[in-house]
Amino acid sequence: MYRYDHFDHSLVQERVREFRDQVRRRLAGELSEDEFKPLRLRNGLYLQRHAYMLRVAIPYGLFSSRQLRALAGIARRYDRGFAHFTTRQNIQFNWPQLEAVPDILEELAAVEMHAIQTSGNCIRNITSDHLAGVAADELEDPRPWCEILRQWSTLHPEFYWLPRKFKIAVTGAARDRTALRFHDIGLRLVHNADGVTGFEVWVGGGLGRAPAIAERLRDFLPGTQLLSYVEAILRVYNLHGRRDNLHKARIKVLVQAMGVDRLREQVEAAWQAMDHAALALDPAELAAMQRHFTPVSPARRPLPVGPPPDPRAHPGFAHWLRQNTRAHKDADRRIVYVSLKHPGAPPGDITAAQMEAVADLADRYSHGELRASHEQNLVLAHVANRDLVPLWRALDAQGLATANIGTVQDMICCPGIDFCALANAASIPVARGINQRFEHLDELYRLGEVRIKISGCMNACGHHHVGDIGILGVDKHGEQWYQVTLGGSASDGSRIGTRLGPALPAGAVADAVAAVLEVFAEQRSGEESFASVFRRLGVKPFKELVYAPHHETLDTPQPVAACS
Amino acid sequence: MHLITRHSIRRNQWRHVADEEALGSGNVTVSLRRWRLQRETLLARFRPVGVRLQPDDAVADIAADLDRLDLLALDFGSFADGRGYSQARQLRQQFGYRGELRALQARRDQLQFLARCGFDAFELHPREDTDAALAVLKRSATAYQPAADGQSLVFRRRRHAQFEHVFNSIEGARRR
Ligand code: SF4
Repeated sequence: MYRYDHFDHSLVQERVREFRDQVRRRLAGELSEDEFKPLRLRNGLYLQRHAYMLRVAIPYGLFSSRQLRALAGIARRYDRGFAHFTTRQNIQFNWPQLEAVPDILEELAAVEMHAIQTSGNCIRNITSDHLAGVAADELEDPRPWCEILRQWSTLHPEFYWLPRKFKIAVTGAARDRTALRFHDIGLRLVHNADGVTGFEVWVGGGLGRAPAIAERLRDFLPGTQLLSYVEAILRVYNLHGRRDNLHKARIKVLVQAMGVDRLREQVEAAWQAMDHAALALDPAELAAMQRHFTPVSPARRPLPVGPPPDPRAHPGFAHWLRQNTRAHKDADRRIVYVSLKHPGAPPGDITAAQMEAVADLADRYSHGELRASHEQNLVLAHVANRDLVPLWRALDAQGLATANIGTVQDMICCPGIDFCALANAASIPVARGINQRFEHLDELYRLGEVRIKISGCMNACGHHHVGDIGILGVDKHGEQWYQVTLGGSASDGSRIGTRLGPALPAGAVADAVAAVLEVFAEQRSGEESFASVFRRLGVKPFKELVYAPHHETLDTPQPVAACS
Repeated sequence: MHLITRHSIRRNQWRHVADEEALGSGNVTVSLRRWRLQRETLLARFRPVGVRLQPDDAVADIAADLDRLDLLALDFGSFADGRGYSQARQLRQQFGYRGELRALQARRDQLQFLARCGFDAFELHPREDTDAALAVLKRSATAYQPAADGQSLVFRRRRHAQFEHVFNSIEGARRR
């Protein structure tokens, strides 16, 4: 993985010093809260319902055991002993004191981490495929490009005060695991007819209040020109994106207003007018970056690798092997998911003790490397087959081996009203309620891969629009209600979910999910996916069963404004 | 109001004249609209003249006149409105403007970014401390990317740093 050199170290340390001074000015009353807010946001510091929340960047989801240990230490000393992995491959602490944040940032800097641009209207953490470098379906490793983009976008003097937040995702695989077309810019690595590496460029995707699927801006952009072209897109957006209305300020609205063809003309014109040479990537520079991401070599750690362990010998192991591990491009290894979806814990939460245990396991079994997935799980990407049984036992002892990856229990869920100041409704208790309905793993396995995604408000941090089943918290006269959508998809064939019907009260959500899944199980042929069943049947049969028990309560006239 | 450059406090020689206000004598800046309407009159004064640009002014509209202007003053409207940074880079790098580029109502937390985008004078916000602001501009800052500041891309500097390292160690060995 990427290691800091003196440029990176000095940049991050200068930033910590600057923020320490900004905090000092705030505490001394030299800055009002209004003045301080945009400054703290650009350092990942939110003011939440009960306390400050600090979001730390995990660039493209890749981090080391050493970094995880440092995060565990911060959770112990500055928080209440746990942290939360987000849907954007970041990690959040929920209870830091303002005075302590500069010290936290300094500790992070010591392990090559920071919170720069993890919030605010600027270019956010670059996200990528959590299986980058190990997936069999990969054309090229996206991570060197992610790191190049990370550095280019960090404290970029022109793009620090954009109309709205700006998210970039990069993938190098055939199958999209990044929700590429739901980003402001989505970059897909491709080779052109001459074998030159470059990108398919997508623009204007996003979730939130008005979800949009990105449009194709360019079929092929030579990789060496990546930075100047992205800079041209950002310049057009910075100058022309709307600033009069927060809800219309994302680039997706600009794309919709002017059309992708006119946007393309403007971007090309801005691009032509720029100094390309200054931002062109030299092959030697690219190669230097790629050397940071060389694949784990089997030779470095010669192993008497045998056939995969016999699942029958270990009860529970077979399920875990099937659900929580994936093929590695090297047949002697497996990719292992560390499930942060224990049915008794909030999705994506992890305790300090668990972090330390996972860090040790990463050292022992996976070259000290970790990944955070946008589905809020962790990944140990290089586990030798012969280590699978001991790793499973060790994870199991920590409550991190629930064999539920990809199942109903593997829900994406934002913090909701328990923490978030913007929330309309709770989301963690909704997840808990669903988990209580689906306790039996056998039932989950029978249903196969079903993606449930829960957001506590329209901001859609829980990606509800793109769940097989999406659940959105809405406020109805001060009460928490839930809007259900079906048939969304974040990956290839990106689709935004269809609304099931009127919003449901909190107590009815788990029943509704159960009813939807009942229809699915009945109508499904063989291993058919939820998306396919939904495409075939439409929303009607689901709607009928879900609302059957509610005729009494839901057919009475409702004030509609709040649940739209 | 205090005016600073990248290195020092400076006395302000300019008056920002509103559209209805008389020009008077001395150096004045006017809005882009007034410049368009009274361009000849303003030039006939034979006094330094400048234009104030708003965030939604297209800098291309003033491009043809840049040689005649001694000052461009960019009004950001609000701290969080970042259009001025792009306007500045366009003026400097695309249209080759070499006169004074002044940021109005500047706060210290913006200064390094402003300077990197091509601003060379800063009228400070009334709540801003002049010495602290100057200290920010003098502070060294690492930058990853080029802007209107002659900085080169960090990947390039790393390569050069490596060459230098190799060269120095060869030199060192030779001297020993
Ligand atoms: S979706 Fe809404 S409630 Fe959930 S974390 Fe985002 S802003 Fe908060």
